[in-house]
Formats: sequence, structure tokens, C-alpha cells
Amino acid sequence: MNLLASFADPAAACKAVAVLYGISVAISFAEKWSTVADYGPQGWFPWRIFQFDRAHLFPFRQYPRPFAALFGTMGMSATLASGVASVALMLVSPPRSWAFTVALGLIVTTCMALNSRSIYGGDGSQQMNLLIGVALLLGFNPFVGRLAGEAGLIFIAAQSCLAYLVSGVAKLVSPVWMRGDPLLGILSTKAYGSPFSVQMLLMAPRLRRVGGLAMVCFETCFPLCLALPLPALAIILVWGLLFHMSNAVIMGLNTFVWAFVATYPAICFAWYLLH
Amino acid sequence: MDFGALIVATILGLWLLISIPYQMADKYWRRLKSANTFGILPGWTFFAPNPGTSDYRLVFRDLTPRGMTEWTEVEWCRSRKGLDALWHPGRQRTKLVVDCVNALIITVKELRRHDVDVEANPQGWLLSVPYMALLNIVNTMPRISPNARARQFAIIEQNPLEDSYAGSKLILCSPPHDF
Repeated sequence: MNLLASFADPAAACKAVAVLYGISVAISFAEKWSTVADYGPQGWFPWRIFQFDRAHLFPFRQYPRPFAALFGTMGMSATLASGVASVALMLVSPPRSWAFTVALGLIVTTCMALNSRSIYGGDGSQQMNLLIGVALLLGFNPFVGRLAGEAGLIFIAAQSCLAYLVSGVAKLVSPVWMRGDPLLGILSTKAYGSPFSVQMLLMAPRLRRVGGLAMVCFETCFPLCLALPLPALAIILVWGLLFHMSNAVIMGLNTFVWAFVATYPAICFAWYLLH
Repeated sequence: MDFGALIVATILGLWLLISIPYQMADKYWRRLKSANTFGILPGWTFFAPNPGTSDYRLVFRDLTPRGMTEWTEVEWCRSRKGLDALWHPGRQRTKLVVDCVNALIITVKELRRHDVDVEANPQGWLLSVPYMALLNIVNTMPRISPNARARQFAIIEQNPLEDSYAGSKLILCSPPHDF
């Protein structure tokens, strides 16, 4: 509870968000950097193909060469390397300092470059990384005061609550989720499952039904954590942490853990603001 | 009055407000979705309303002077390992194939909705980015025969809980593409 209470201070909440966010983007950039050959002409993400998705946009159409250089192997390697270096700079710099702001600016630019390069192959952690980065950049730079930082933290908390709520409601109104057996279906795929998890689910059909509904309930009710008493907030956040950790182990969604848990200090800050 | 905070709060407040109806993007916000180049507006409907519960198998064969070779499978997704929970660079390739197959299915459905005969006029999907991306993936695989001069690929949807091909569905079989 002491840990949660420390996030009532926007500076402490910002630092905690920045550390977890830094880990999230560092893993994301480093993973892409380790497979940077995929961005080349012989790789799986060649710009010569994915550029057609952007051909209708003026800068991409008007200046194809700079974008071809930026989105090729060398350009992506340099972009991702600068992204990782910027994370290191952000982590050692105090919030509101010039170094912190420049580092965050570079991280956000890298995230935007990755998003604009291709709409295929991205995921929700990438989206959350961009939102957190921009909110920290706008709220904790040398030009603005304490209130702007608070607005940034509230934005992060609100987007996090929206993410869980929308994910829960979308499942709640889905006949597949409400009447079918989606957990077994998803976790039996090669892309998002594992043989171990399928064996476990096949052994306990009732448990997987209850587990699926509990997950939908957890996601839908997540925003209530802002209104409930502090112990309930702690329980919901621990549940969220375990939920993302199990998704990382079973489904391989490793960056979601860091990206979504990075929003939790902001949620704690919002809770203290409301109480 | 802290004008900086007012500007920041206004920008972030508007951003949040637009994010809420954007969750129904497929139905009402198509134009905005196509303009979301930097991914500023998030979509949070993970695995819903219709979660992917099929395995997609990407297979190809080469055209040689002796005819077509046997089908070979692209191993685009390896089995889960413990380390994936911490470090999982392969996730991007996996998501690429899943996204491209899903986008291709949507493209064909959209063409049909506009009364396009997709069998007689395949240009609509043959020139789509998801199709070209899948063709590119297949073309990164080594040639089956040194004399091969063209490659054909197919996508098969399979129920992962069934060991056999019974119930499998052919999603697409491409024409042969010259190397």
C-alpha cells in the first residue's frame, strides 16, 4: 500500500511510468533491431511493398527516396538504435529536464516511424507505447508546470481504463465469447497458443468457461478500480499484472506486460486525485 | 492561469474523446482509420468480437520444366518457448502473416460486396498489399528446384484441434508467379 501511496505524487508516478515504459519500448525496439534484415529487400517487411499503403499520402508520394532510405535496413537500424539509446538517456534523466524531453521526443518519433511504416505486424503494446510517450512528453517537459504533468498522467490512466473496458465490452457483446469456447480456440492456434495450455484447458472444460467469463468481467469492470477502496485497487492491479504475465507466458505477448503495467502508477495517481 | 497546462489538457482531452468513438472504427470511422497513419488513435478490441481460432498454413510449389513440384510449407510460426515471455522477436513475423491473411480475406469480401467477380477479375486482390506481402514471404524461401521458373502459393485454414486435414479450407491459391 505504501508503494501505491507514493504514486499520489505526480513526480513519483511519472518516474515509475517512465521506467516501466522505458523497458517496454527498449524491448520492442531491440526485438525489431535484432531482426532488422527483415526490413531489407530480401526480408519479410520490404518497404518496396509496404510503401503502397502510404502512396496516397503527400510526403510519401512526393519524397520517396528519403523514405526508402529511412525505411530500409540501414535507416531502420539507425532509427531503432537511436531509439534504444534514447531510452537509456530517458531513464537516467530527471523528468522535466532537457535530456528527458529530447530522449522522449526521439522515442515518440521512433514509435511514429514504426507505425507509419506498416499497419501490418504491429500490436496493442505499440499503440500504448505511443500514447504513454506523447503524454509524458507533453506533461513533463521544461515548458509546462505541475498541472500539465497531472493532465498527462490522467490521460494515461484514462486510456488504460478505456483499453480494458473496450476489450471487455467487445467480448461481452460477442456471441463467440459468450456462447462459444474462444479460449480453447485461441490458445490452440500456433500463433497465440501453446500445447501445454491446450492440454490444461482440455482437462478442465468448466474451468476454461469460468476463466473466459472471469477475464471478460475483469476487463469490463477494470475502470471501476478508480472508484473502489484502495485494497480493491491493489487487488485489481495485481490481477492485471498476473493477467498480462500469463498472456506473456502462454501467448508470447511479452511487451504487453510492460506497456500496460506502465500505466498502473498513473492509475494510482488518478485514484488519489479522486479520493 | 497555467496556459501550458491548459493547452496540454485540451490536446489530451480531445485525443481521449476521439479515441472513444474510434473503437467502432470499422463501422463509422473508415475515413479516419485510413488517415491514422501514425497510429495515434488506438484500437482496443483485442481478440474480439471474433477471435482468430484457426491456423493458417502457407504452402508453395515451384513450376519446373517437368511440371509442378510437391507443396512445401513455410514455417512462419514456431512453437511457444518459455523465453517468449521475455524476448520474442518472432512475434512480428507471426503477426504479419496473421494480419495479411485477415486483410486479404476482408479485401476479397469487400470486392464481392461491390459486385466484383473476384475469380474473373483478380487484379483487385492480386495488387493488394497483403497479397504482395504474402507473395514476398513465399519468395524469400529457397527454390525447390534449380530449374524452377515460377512459384505458386496457397493459404489453407485449418482447425488446430484436428490432426487431419479434414475440415480444412482453401482460402487462396495463387496463379504461378515468374521468378
